[in-house]
Amino acid sequence: MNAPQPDVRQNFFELFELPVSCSVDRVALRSKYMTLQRQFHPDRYAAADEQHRRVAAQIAARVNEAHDTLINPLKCAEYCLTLQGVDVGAETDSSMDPQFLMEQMEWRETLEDINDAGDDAERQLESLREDIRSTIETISKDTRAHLDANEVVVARDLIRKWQFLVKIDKEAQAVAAKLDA
Amino acid sequence: MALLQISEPGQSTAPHQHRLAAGIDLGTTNSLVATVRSGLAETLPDASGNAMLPSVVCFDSHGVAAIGVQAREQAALNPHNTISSVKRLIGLSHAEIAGSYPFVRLESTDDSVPRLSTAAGGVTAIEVSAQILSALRDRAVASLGGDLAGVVITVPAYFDDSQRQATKDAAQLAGLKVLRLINEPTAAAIAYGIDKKDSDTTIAVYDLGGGTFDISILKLERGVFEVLATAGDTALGGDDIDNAIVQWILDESGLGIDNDAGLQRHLLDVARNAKHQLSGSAVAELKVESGPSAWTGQLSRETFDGLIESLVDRTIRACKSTLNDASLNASDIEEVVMVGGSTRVPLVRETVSAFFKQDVLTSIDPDEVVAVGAALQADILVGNKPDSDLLLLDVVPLSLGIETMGGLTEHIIPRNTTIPVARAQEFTTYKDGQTAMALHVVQGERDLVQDCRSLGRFELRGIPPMVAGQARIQVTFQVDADGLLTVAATEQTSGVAAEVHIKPSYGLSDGEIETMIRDSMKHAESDVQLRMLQEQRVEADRTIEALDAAMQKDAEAFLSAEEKSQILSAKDTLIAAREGEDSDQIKKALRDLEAASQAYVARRMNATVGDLMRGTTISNYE
Repeated sequence: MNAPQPDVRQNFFELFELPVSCSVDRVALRSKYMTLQRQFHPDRYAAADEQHRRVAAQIAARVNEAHDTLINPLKCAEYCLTLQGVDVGAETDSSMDPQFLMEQMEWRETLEDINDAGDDAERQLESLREDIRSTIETISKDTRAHLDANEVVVARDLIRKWQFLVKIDKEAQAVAAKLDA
Repeated sequence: MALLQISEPGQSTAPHQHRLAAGIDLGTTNSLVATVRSGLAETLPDASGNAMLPSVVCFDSHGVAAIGVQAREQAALNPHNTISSVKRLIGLSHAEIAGSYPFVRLESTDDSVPRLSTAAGGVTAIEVSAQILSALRDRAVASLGGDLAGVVITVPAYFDDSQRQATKDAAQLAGLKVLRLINEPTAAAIAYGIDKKDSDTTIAVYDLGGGTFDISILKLERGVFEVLATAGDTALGGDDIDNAIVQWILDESGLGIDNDAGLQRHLLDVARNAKHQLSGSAVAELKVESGPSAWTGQLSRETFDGLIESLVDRTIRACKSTLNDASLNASDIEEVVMVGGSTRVPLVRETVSAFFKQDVLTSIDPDEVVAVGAALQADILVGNKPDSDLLLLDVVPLSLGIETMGGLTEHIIPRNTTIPVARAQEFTTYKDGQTAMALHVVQGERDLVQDCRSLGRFELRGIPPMVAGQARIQVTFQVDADGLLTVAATEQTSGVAAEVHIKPSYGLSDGEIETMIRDSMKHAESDVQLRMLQEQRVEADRTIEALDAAMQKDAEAFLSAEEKSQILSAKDTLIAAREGEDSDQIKKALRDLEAASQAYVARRMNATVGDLMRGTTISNYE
């Protein structure tokens, strides 16, 4: 028998007993997460010796990482792509659909203008965020479909757009927080 | 090495034996210790019946002169040698103390750990806290009639990594085994048994103590606690209420304090007394009698409420902003737990109750509720309650990262990540032939390192010379269940791996702690050796017992004949060492046996994962 490492052989889906797909059943995920936490949380081994505590902490950390990845739609899609042997690509890889890039730049300009839009700022921001959210919704749906159909090249391009959108959504969120204050 | 505990987590090797455990509320103003006896959690009082130990330590040229009540009495007479509210300083750097508490007198040293000036020389906040913890430990040992197997210590939810680490260091220095640090609001919720509710619950914990105010929003989901948001005011509490009354007396009576420290203390006593009266009656009788100053008067509830209204409103504003942080409304809160002596003030209860539109929980003594919750959790962790379902999940309160070129922060573990967690990221060299790399670990949300908090620095040396950008340095951040961070760096391409672990720069290194423990015990050297020997023997017995039990069960399934004989030979060495008088020898034999059975432990652990999966698969499809 080979000396096994506690966790590396299973991928996140196997660990949570879920089908490999980025359409994750969140209820099943949450339920399995609680079960695994109950089994491996270091507190269950607080009275045990150092070595057991260490192994339990390693497994619990792995369980947390898996949960955080699968619960987040973008991270989950990226992970699915990695499982198929495809790297999402470094940020330096700048080949990107020009039309999408144009739209990005427009949104960014709108966002900058909102800062000094006065009374109308909140309404404008809300409408921009609505646009971003609905685009994310569409892209994530497409990504899942292409991933499930093993069309990794298309999926990879979509995921990179998705990454951009999440970033600009975060910036919009920051602007919203500033307006609130 | 309690191998049995793999199949039955949470159980000790001797399930029928009750192990002594305690919960400690290490407070800013007062500290308490509690334990579970015959199924009931109760605080342990001192010989005069006081459960609360003032968190005050007084020093003289010989060292510690007094702790607790006696030390507090010294505070006015001997202010420079009396340290109170040390919790505000623990885990802070020189610059942070100088910035926030300019009146604190620090030794000027190059030492990384700030030292407070006293007649006994410079003492660290960790050492002062350790004195308070020792006093509580002694009280528990005397009261329970045996040594503590472990303790749970509570810390504020907003405590960062260095403050938690420093609290753990203090416990180690006091000779305590820390089972877990838990957040104070979580402990209070446990004390009320909220964890036993079947449905998911959102809880607010309102904690108005002597000198600090905290509000935390917790979520309980199927026995799992999560801190959603927390905020507070470190300069708001019962002391401000007392001062408001003193000011009112001065206005009413026309008395002047004029640097009369005696009168000032007397007025504070009168004010506290009036405050306590007003918790039960509509009018308080006040009588000032100090030297030539004399005055009598009456303070009504109504006037009193007017005096403190603005203070109470400040706490409600904090409640609002915390709810905002958690994206919740006051009506989403299902339970409100009141903590801290100042929540006895009727106006406080009424205002909080009105804000959350419900009755607030006050049936447990608000001074004792945190210690009681910690005791309940300690009882579970030490293995006295193997069937307990309660699990506390905590998150990293602030993002953890590393400084990259240009003074920018690269976050490696984002805030609100559930712990324990391990994350790795690769970095590379920026100069040809670079053989060393300086790593700067920071905490905070900001992009610029200068806006974040520095946790520590270390260097990775011995990188083989390569072209810039070719070395692959993997930096791993690990945060354990207590929220404590370990950072390691490994150079990967060369196969020559170097690894460094760091601790926060204003905590103490293991070496420093060892030195301090040795210093504090140098008069009892032989006792220490004996104790170490005894501890190693107990550990050896435990290990052998657990190993035997495990191997009897499944050695055939998991071990080849060769592996089995290696383990048995390491076990024989340990048995022989255990009979000797050399604790180091036992320690070494223990380590060797651990190494020999490492693969075995891992395989059993894996089998447990497998069993668990199979178990749930069946139940899922049923």
